[in-house]
Amino acid sequence: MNLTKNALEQIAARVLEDTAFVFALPREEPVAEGAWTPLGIGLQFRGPVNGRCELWAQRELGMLISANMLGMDEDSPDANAACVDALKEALNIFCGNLLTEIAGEEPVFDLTPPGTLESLTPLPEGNKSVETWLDADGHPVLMRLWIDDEASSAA
Amino acid sequence: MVFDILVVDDSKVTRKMIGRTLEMAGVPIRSFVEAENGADGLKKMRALLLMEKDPFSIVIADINMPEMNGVEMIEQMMQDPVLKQIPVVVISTEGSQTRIDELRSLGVKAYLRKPFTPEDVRDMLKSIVGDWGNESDQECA
Repeated sequence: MNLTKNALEQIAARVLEDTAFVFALPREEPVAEGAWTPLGIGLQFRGPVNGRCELWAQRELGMLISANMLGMDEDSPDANAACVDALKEALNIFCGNLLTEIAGEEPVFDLTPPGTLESLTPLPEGNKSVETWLDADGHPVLMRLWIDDEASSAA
Repeated sequence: MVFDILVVDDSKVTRKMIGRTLEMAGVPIRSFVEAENGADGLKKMRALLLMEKDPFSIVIADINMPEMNGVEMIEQMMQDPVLKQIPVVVISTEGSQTRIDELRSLGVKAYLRKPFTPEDVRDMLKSIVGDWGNESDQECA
């Protein structure tokens, strides 16, 4: 598994643009802890390697993504109601595409349904995790991936 | 030709997004029915048969779903002489060729990877059912 920040940035940007018409660029500075109130979405994957993907973004971006996905106004009640569901879908697409990018087209991965996360915890140290900050139409987004183990690939 | 479409996906947003993409692709839709997992999908397919109505023209399904996933639903469809005739398209995020080959061996007609465009959807449907006429024909109809 070749985890790179660049792969995360490129795939996250492509997924946001292709699924929700949201344009994302690398963000130079992370958002300081306490300076934002993000929604956290996470999923786990199992296959030749096991791990997790996370997406953290503010509700405003979720509403923009859901509005664009569903073709409705950003401030409509339906876009608001679908906000978390839209972020889950964006993460699901991001993770599926990222795994194919970094592991190739042969391995099969099973992804759990995305769920909401309680708090943003520090990434484990080492080279088995990577995160990147993006600016998506003016809204900060944090994308994260980490590998829990590679035991099954070594077996 | 008009389509009676069943979309099976646990995400309501995804189901709506697929419906919107089909519309944007100019697919002529007579009915668009949603199911939230494989069991719900089978129930809706069998309900049409019980009512002696035409089966769905096509089933568009996700793989990873709670209660009954897409593979289990397709396996059950293939055991039914009527349901096995319905073309199944799987829409998923994964690009694993191994997974695609497995699905094709189950009888899946096409695999569409997210994210997809209206053109991808139109090309995929035409590869399964052939041409349904161009947009100007539909406007004149």
